[in-house]
Formats: sequence, structure tokens, C-alpha cells
Amino acid sequence: MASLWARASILLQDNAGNIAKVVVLVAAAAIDPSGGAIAALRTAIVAVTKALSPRAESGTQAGAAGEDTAGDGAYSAIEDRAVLTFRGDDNSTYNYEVPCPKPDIFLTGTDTVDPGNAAVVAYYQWIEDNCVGTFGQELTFVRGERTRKKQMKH
Amino acid sequence: MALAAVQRVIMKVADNVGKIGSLALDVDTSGGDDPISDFTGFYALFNAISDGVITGQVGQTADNAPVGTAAEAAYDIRDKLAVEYVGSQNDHHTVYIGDPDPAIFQANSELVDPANTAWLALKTAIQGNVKDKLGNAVRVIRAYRQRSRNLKSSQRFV
Repeated sequence: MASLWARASILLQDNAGNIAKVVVLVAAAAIDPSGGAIAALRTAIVAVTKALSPRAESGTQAGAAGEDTAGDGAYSAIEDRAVLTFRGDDNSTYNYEVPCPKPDIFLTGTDTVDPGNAAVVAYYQWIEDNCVGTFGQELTFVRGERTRKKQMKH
Repeated sequence: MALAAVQRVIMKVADNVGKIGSLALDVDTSGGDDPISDFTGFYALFNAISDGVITGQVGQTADNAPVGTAAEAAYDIRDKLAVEYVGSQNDHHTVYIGDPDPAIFQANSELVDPANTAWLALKTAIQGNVKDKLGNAVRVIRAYRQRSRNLKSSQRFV
């Protein structure tokens, strides 16, 4: 079920640099914080405070997606990660983790992601086609490696 | 005001013993549409390379253009305007707005001046734009001044 609301977070900062957030729910369609409901609230809030509002953010939520049942990975599989490295078109580097990677995406006997694996190719090509770097850079897949995170919370 | 260059989607991933991890990807802002809607083609590709399942998603859209200016003041962000409102199911909420302008309060009182123009504009903005969890409008009950003990920045060390 799609969320019936979006979360608006309006940051306030006083003249000493202290910050506080005002968080309210707004209509599900009010996603653009630079206009509509969030901008209207922000303007009204700034009018009653002596603080500056340096940033506003909207948050949307959705539930589970994809498969319902986790695969039979090793115990504590969530700590097991494939780290896929991408290069931005400004030569920046982005690492995207895949929790619980399937064992067969790695080259046999190594911790290196098989760049020719069909599922891996489909995955990184989707990221190249649909995702960008933090500043909007286009991304190109470089390589992938297996790593292990510290123990995760339950 | 202008949107940030990208929108972010954070996905919560669980393994077969219920441990939780996450992954985050950025997409172009696309005019402020819900970034989660860009990921319909992603889930099957993720499940093809991972034994984890996606149990929740959060989309983030930011506007980093500043609004207003921080005035010199004896009080600071710990000084709060508390605004109480109710939703359609009689659900009660309080939102705290830091560093309120003293002019919106009645003289010698912690209550807002019900005739103050800026307060009335805020009340109208809340009742016109804030929703409860069913997506219904809310109604403002009252507002008053309160001092917060919680700080999130360096002020706590002063």
C-alpha cells in the first residue's frame, strides 16, 4: 500500500549555528520541497521565527518490494557484501554495496565479482542507466569485490 | 528555491535470520517526483544477485536553498513555539518550531497572540498543508512558548 503522506523536514538554524528540525506530515504528492505544501509551510514558519531555514527535505516511504523470502545464505549473511565500484564522469568514485550477495556472482575461488555474470551485468547496467553520483554525474561500472561489514543489528 | 541535484532512495534489506542492512542509490531529481517510483525495474535485478529481501524503502528529496535570515537574539534555538494540532482520528500532535519571534506572543504571556498576523499565517499554512497519517487535514488547537532541553549541536558544550 502506498503511503498516504510524505514527511516534510524543515531545518532551522539560529544565529549561533544551533539547529533544530520541524517535522510534519504533508500530502503524499507534496514531494517537491522547493514548492507546494512544504515551501508554504517553510515560508510561514520562517515568518514566526528569528531562525534561518537552510534546508528542507521531503521523505517518502514504501514497503517491501521484490521477493518475499530471503535466500538460504550463510548465517549472518547480511554482513556479507559485494561492493560494486563505479566511476563518475568527473573521475569521482562511488561504492555501492549489495548485502547478502549470491555466491555464484563471484569468480570461483576469489573475492572478485564476476564482471561477465549475466545477473551482475544486468544489475550494474541498470545502475549506469538510471542512477547518478551525488552531484548528478553519470556512472560507469569499474569492478566489484566481496567484503564483510561489522556485525549488524537484529 | 532549487532542488538538490539528486534524490536518494534508501532500501532496508533483511537476510534469512532477520538481520537488517541497507543500500542507497541516487537518481536525477526528475522535477521532484517520488524517487522510489524510479526503482520498479530494480527489485528483480537486485534479487538476482542477492539472497536478501527488500523490506522497506525511503525516498529523500532536498531543497538546499536557504530561506530567511538568522536574527540576533537573546534566546536561541532552544526557545520553542509549541503548536498542538489534532488529526481526523482525534490523534494529537505537537510540532516545535525553534527560535520564535517574541512579537508573536501576548505581552507577559507564554501564549501566542491570536491576532498576530504571522501566527495566523502559520496556523493557516498548517491547517492547509499538514496531514495526518490517513492523508486528512489537521486542526490547530493552541500554541505556546516552551524551552527545550534537547540540543543537537555544539551549544550543548557551551
